[in-house]
Amino acid sequence: MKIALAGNPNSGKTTLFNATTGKLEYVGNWPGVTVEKMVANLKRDYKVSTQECSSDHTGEKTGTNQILVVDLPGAYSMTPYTGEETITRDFITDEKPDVIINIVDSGSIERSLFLTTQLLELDIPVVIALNKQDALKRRGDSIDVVGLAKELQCEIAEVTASKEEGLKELIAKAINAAAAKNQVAPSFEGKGSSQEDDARKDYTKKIADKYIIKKRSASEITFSDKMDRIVASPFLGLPIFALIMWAVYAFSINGVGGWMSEYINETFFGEIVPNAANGFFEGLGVHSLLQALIVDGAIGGVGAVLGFLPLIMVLFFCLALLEDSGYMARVAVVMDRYFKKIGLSGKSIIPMIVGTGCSIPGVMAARTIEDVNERRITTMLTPFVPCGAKLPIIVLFTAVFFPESSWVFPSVYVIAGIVIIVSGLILKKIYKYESSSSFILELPEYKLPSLKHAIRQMLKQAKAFIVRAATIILVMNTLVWFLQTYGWNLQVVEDQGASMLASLGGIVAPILIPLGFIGWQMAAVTLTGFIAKENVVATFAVILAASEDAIHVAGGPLSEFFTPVTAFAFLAFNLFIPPCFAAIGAMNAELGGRKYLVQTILFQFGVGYTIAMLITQIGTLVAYGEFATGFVPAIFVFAFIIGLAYYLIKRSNNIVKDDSTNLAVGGE
Amino acid sequence: MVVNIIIGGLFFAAIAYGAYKSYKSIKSNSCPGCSGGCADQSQCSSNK
Repeated sequence: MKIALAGNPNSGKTTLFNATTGKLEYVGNWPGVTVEKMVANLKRDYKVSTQECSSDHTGEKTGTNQILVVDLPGAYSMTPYTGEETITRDFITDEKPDVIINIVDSGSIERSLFLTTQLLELDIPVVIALNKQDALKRRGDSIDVVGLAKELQCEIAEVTASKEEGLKELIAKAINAAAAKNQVAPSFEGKGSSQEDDARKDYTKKIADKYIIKKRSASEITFSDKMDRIVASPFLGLPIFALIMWAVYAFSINGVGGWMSEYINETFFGEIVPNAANGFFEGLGVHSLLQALIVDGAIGGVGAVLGFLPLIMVLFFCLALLEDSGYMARVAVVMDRYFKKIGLSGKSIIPMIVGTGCSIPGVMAARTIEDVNERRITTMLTPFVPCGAKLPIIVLFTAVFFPESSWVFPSVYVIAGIVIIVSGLILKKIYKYESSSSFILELPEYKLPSLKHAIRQMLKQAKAFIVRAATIILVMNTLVWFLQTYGWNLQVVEDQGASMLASLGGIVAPILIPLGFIGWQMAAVTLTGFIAKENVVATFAVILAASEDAIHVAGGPLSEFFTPVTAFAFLAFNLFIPPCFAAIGAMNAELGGRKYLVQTILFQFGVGYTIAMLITQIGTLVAYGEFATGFVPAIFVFAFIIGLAYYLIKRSNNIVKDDSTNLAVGGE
Repeated sequence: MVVNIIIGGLFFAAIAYGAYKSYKSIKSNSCPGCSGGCADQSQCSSNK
């Protein structure tokens, strides 16, 4: 049996999906988070009630163990306007689920009923879940559920998915409806006419007026309205956002997360685990090379990344609280006016906020943007937002080179914002387009954020971080250890400079000279970072395993490779060059062609390279009063990049001119 | 010798498993342990 969850965006479908299936899919307090359908088995807790119901009504047990719940992207109607609405329409019409649970936000029934009445006409049983009952009661509103059910001729359950209230009753009603299979379509004046949409709107308005009892009038100013006048105001919106983010990052780094990370890095993975492992392997008489591989390669590299876990957990906990409170949706509104200036709309900010966790769902979220050029540019710019995998790099370099400067961490996000805006302006000139997407976002009401939700999001990020460390990071560390321990003759090398890693890194190293990154180590780290960004930290840990101090220590072994200026440049370089392989794959899927993927990778590499080069060369001159290494090649490279950008913009202008001339000739 | 084979065998089995999981994930435009639900989403979209 298939239960489809359908409803308007941000009505709580994924929250209901997670609650009924035990999944931990990403939930955001704004519309457009789910862009693909998701399928999972109904949780056992609910099967107890469904078994009772199914044996009552169908007399058979088939399906009780095979009840699939399908979470569909939000849709306002069955006439799709965006790509994800098409997915919803196609699934319902082509795959014909046994029953549809139509999730309706109790606070916006009138608008939701447009889709509801369309679903009721598909000859598929429908059960309405009136969600967010807690918010409804808080507002003092009420709904005549019996009357509404009678009017629409379908079952209705009152639920609060976030608190898992009323869900058993809802699932039971859905199973009953699927067994009964007698859905009646509503009839209203004007149905089937050319003005059907207007007639349907009139009908849903009449229903809403009749069955919803509102305590206050629509014109009354609510607490959310008052808050929005401050936090979403044109003047205060951006400073408030910057202040909040600074507070979040300062709390994450200096609070319990930072303290625990320091302990884990320096004591747990720095002393306790390696000492215990060395003692254990020596006791067993394990070969010294195998021991070094496991302790220096695997434990050292993975430990260097895992040490940041507490800090990242605290950070994502804070971000989840902010998001659940409804604030992040306001950020999209605040940013809309700035994004418009670079040819993007507030729609582009949602993929970027999602991208703070992981670039892949961020890139996927860009598909909600209708305009193809705007979608492509959003896809190109979203990986510039520092994702969770880049956090260890930021924290490592901040801890080693700027231990007393609380501004460095948040400044990375400010730089990312500036880079996105400047890159957007350049891309707008190259791709020649004006944004055609209108940005209308229904702002959720402010609410007290759910601790449960925040903890779940935090644990989800933590799990992902641990799994990555135990798989892709572990594999890469082992490879890095092998390549730096052996030469091409497969003999152990005395000097790392004679290793396979050094000669491979040596091929790429010259490219990095204008950036002030000298040595094969920099190239090796950059290469492994393409596989997964955490590898930057892990590879440093493996390469510098022989050093006395841990890599996280201020003034430790990393200081041999960088000055504070080049360290900041290296940080920026790793943030803005193309993301990991998986995110590149996601970009390939979303950009719609290899040509655009190649352009995107070259563009991102060019941006990362140019920024790092400018930071190194200008920063060294300003801070130390001397030219940085690679100053002369940097001038040539910079001139080439400026020339290339000029050529691309000029070529684009000529193409537009040719097109308009052809149009004029054609018009004559 | 036996100890080396056992410890080495266990370690390289873990590496092989990690490599397999990583390859599988990257092939479906995702990361191992993906935090964004994108692994499931990619699976679903490829099943469409």
